[in-house]
Amino acid sequence: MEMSATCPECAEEIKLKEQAELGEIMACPCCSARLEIMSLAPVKIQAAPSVEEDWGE
Amino acid sequence: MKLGLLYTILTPEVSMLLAAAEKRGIAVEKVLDAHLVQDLDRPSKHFGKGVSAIVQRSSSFSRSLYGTAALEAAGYKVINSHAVQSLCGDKALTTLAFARAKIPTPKTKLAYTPEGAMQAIKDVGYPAVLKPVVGSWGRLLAKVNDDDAANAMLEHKNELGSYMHKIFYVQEYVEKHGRDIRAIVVGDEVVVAYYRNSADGGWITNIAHGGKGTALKMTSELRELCLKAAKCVGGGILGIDVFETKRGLMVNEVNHGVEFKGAFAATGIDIAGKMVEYAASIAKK
Repeated sequence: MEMSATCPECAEEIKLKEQAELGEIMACPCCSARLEIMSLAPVKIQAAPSVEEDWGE
Repeated sequence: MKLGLLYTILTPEVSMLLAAAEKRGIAVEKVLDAHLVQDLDRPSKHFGKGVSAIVQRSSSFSRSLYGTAALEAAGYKVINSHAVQSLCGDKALTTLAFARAKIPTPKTKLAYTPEGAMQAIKDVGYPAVLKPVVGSWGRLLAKVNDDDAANAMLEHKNELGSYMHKIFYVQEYVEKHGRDIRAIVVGDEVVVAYYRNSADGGWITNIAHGGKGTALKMTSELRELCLKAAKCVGGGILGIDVFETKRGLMVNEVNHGVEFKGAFAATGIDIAGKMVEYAASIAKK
């Protein structure tokens, strides 16, 4: 089933690939915003978190 | 039996872990740490039925630490445990653990004022290395070669950094000729060890800084040192960083959220598989 969501930055409708996964990072094809898939049912995307000072291994 | 997996974003490592679990017929319940709202005043379950052990892959150290504390309070086994993360995530505490276990490590001092840090730098001698006690991927490291550089760096840390940057972790510079060793320990096994070669022959070898992995020949000395280092921080799934120095092998740090795409690319070893099998064995206990 085709899944789509609206870019929170530019409002472009984005079609997600069939194998889309929770937590996947993608770029908006229109504005290139870095987005994260937060939910698949229903589909929700939001701006991906930025790398913070305490990120890493 | 089902494993839980807690993560911030779908990194290559998370993808490899999920694929390894699927290959082994191990069910995994994935939860984004952004979705966690945890009770602290009472134990509360955040994963579904059948999950007793959780693989912690949060990208953020602070989220991982607090998230793990609450999950353990709710009765889950978390890999790696809060105790292990607390120790490994703080370089000062890790160095203290090395000292207790008599693990060779570079000469290291801690100071709480720029003046104290300057004294520490004089004690270890130039060049000296300044590191944040909490930090990863080779970020915010500074190699200072003289008083001018040291004074400038200490002033910047003191004025511009958060309160944690006023904990001055000072270490002797150890020449390692543009490479170090990363070993991944899973339980009581050194699963893989490889060289990390710095991108430009410089002193920072992290893969995140463009370092490249190449294969190395394991020795019994290296194996024993890595297992000892893993044990002294509490054990689990750990990345051990080792320097080859004139004074012999030295352990620099232990990473509790070890990344392994570089290790896999360099060696082809199924590191994710080992990790998943270890997590499953913990879940079954």
